[in-house]
Amino acid sequence: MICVAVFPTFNLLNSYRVRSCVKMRSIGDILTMPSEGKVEREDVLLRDLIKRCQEGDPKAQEAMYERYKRPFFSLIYRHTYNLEAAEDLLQESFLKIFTNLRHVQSDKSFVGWAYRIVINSCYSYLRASKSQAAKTIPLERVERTIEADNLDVQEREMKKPLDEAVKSLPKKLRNVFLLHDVQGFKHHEIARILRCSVGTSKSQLFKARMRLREYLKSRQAL
Amino acid sequence: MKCSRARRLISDYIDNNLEAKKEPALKRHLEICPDCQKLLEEFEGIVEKAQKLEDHEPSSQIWLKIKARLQIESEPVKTPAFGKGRWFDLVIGRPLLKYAVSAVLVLAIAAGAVMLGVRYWKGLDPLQSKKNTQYTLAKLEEAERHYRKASQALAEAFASQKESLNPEVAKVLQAHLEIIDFSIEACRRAAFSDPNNIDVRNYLLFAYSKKIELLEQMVTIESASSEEREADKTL
Repeated sequence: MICVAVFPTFNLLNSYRVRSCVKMRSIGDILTMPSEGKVEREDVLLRDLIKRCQEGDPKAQEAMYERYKRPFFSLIYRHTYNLEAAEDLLQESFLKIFTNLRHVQSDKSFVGWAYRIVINSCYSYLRASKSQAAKTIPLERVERTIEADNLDVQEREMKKPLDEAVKSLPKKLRNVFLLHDVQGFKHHEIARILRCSVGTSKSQLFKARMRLREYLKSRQAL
Repeated sequence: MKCSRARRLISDYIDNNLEAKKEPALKRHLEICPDCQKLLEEFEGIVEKAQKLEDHEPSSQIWLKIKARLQIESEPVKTPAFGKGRWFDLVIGRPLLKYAVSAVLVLAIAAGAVMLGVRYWKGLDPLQSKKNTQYTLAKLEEAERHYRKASQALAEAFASQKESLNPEVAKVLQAHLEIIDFSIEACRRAAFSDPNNIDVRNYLLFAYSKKIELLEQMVTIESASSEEREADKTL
């Protein structure tokens, strides 16, 4: 309730920025949150940035890219687990965002809209990868390749067992977990991004955490 | 409260999303149920680990690629009246570009002639294969000469104004050019070792045409940059 009073406006950007403050339990915690004035200033900055990007200002486009490259790229990477593919998808997503930004009417809807572009790009990639593998390579060889790839990725990229566990999640559960627990979005914001109900978002987060718990326990990492 | 009910509430509880009226019942259950207490601790452990997961950083080249694509895509597509459009001014105003565009036209005609020659030759007697191979190689070399001439002219036009281009964009374009040059070299080796393979010849001609296309884009970006700079000066 207090949280709603501090954040009178729906602001997804700030959710990412204050993710370390997600677990608020007392009035004392509220003191660590940005002030209402700061939140309003962030809103104005984002509105201005979107307007300048819509006008094709290259400096604004670069500022927009700098602001969102890490959350977008991290989300994409944890769907693809392939650096090259993730960079291609990031590039395509930003091109779609910049070329279609003129359709965005309000800064309030911008972040949800941009995240949907990123997530849809990930889904397209996963569908294409699945269909390509099914068409061209015998099942036995796919299994061997995936096992080899997994080992390779684990060795090179996965420093933490949680990363491995996240990889084992189905894409919908993975999305909710990454958006909520990793990037700090709230359920009503996730519901807007993924176009589902708040109840679905909560239920999928619970399932995701249960699966992660089982995975980590089976590997004695929890 | 049953454990199955408590488990669902635990997830909301650690996110501070639990309704106030449900909290006392959950707390009472947690005090008497070690399994649910353990689940709470494990969920908290997962959330803590999740918040510490590192963000990934994309390569610094990605923004340069996006920027180059945005520049290319933002180029207005115009069909101006003869003598009044940008392309006309570009050709008349810059001798090197005039030469480059002429060379590209010659190249298109030469490539068409080669392709026609190849189609005509395909139906001939197998006994004449040696002669035909020599004919194909000669035509291939001829097409290559035209392509090289055209690309050289465009490259010179680009190099003469290169300083007006953003160095980062120039670096990306140069990297793309090197990749195409590498492909051309690989196709050339394959085409000259097996001249009767029509697919390989087509790949080579395609790689050359891609190089011309990229050089044209480089010249277009460069001229747009210099126009912007001139416009800034006049303001």
